[in-house]
Amino acid sequence: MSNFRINTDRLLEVDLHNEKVMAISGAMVGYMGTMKFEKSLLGGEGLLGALKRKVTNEGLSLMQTTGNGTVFFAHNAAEITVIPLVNEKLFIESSSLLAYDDSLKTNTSFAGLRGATSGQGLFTTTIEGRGNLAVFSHGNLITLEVDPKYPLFVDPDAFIGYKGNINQEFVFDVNWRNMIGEASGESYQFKFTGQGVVYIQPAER
Amino acid sequence: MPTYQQINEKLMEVTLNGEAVFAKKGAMISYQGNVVFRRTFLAGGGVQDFAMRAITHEGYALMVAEGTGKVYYGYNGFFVSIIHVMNETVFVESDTLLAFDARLRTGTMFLGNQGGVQGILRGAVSGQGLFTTTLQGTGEIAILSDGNAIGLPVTPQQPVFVDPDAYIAHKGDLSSSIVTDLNWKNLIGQASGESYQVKFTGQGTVYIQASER
Repeated sequence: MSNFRINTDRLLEVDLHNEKVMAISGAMVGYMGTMKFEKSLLGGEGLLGALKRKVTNEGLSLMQTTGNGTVFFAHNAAEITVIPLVNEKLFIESSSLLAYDDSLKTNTSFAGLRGATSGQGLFTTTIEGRGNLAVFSHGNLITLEVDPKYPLFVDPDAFIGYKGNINQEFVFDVNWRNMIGEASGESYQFKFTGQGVVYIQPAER
Repeated sequence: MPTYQQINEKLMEVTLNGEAVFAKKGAMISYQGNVVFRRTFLAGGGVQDFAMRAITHEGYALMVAEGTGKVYYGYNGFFVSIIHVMNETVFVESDTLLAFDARLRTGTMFLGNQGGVQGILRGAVSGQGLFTTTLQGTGEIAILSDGNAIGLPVTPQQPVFVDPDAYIAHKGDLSSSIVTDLNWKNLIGQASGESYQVKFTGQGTVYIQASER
């Protein structure tokens, strides 16, 4: 398992010892040692997985990095957070994924109707297994706990991902003011119930 | 000798005691004391250097701050890093230069003089042009970066490879060359996005930013 470190808030450092790490294409900013960068044609999901991505538009343009040494990844000076997964499943917006360990498996899953309104597509990316992954966010990533007693509501535009035993619903808050064009700007939210954590960013897409 | 101090990631303070500090035009945010700001054309580089800048487009609009007091510099919310120079030459893109000591000598370097054809190629692929700015001597330089800048140490045993789009500056006794990593996937239009890198060998430091131009 490769070692993920945050060098500064905006720079990810990964040590590789003949291991493989996946990252979004073009995210490498520097490296030491011997490294090889190759476009990952199927993204480790096989032909069916690649086809599914094509159809669902939950596209991920990935490259695989193999070698020995240290590699640095960054993306548009966005803040980076490392999330270690221990046999868990994380749901994440593919547009927020920076890099992940090759030991993790990615897939696409149906996210329900909520994707249509938030402009994130009807499908979402899942990533599961044991290993590290790095996400980037506009502003520092915020981790919010969800407890069966306290459901959490999140603005779809600030949503990045979640993990744990969580149920996701879509709630509307539409009243007569919306009809006369006086919306509060917060007319629909995600509602998360169950046990787990939700990741959001302090910026709205 | 003026002292440079980082106030936060994006702001720095220079204390002047009758010295002069050059800075990007318009980068002054506030000052205390008796400081005069003037537009400068030669920027300590002499007439020949000025002519060279005009021709090579490695031009910058500089102002000089002179007097006694404190000056605060920042620019467009970019991150600021201070580089200490000890009898060295720093190579930096003129548009990432925020401020530097009047003690340093500036020059314009043809990338071909520093790495031959490889140097020219580097300028061409990174879109930085064929010329770069050099600063020589002992003093301090402040550079701008999109996201934190980090300095990667280069030793003869440990060359450093950087993405040309993330490169901002380097110092020390370094030579650079272009490394390409092309394979059959590039031919079918499936490039990894990292098909060429700049390799720095020697002894020194390379500065990169957490974003790609």
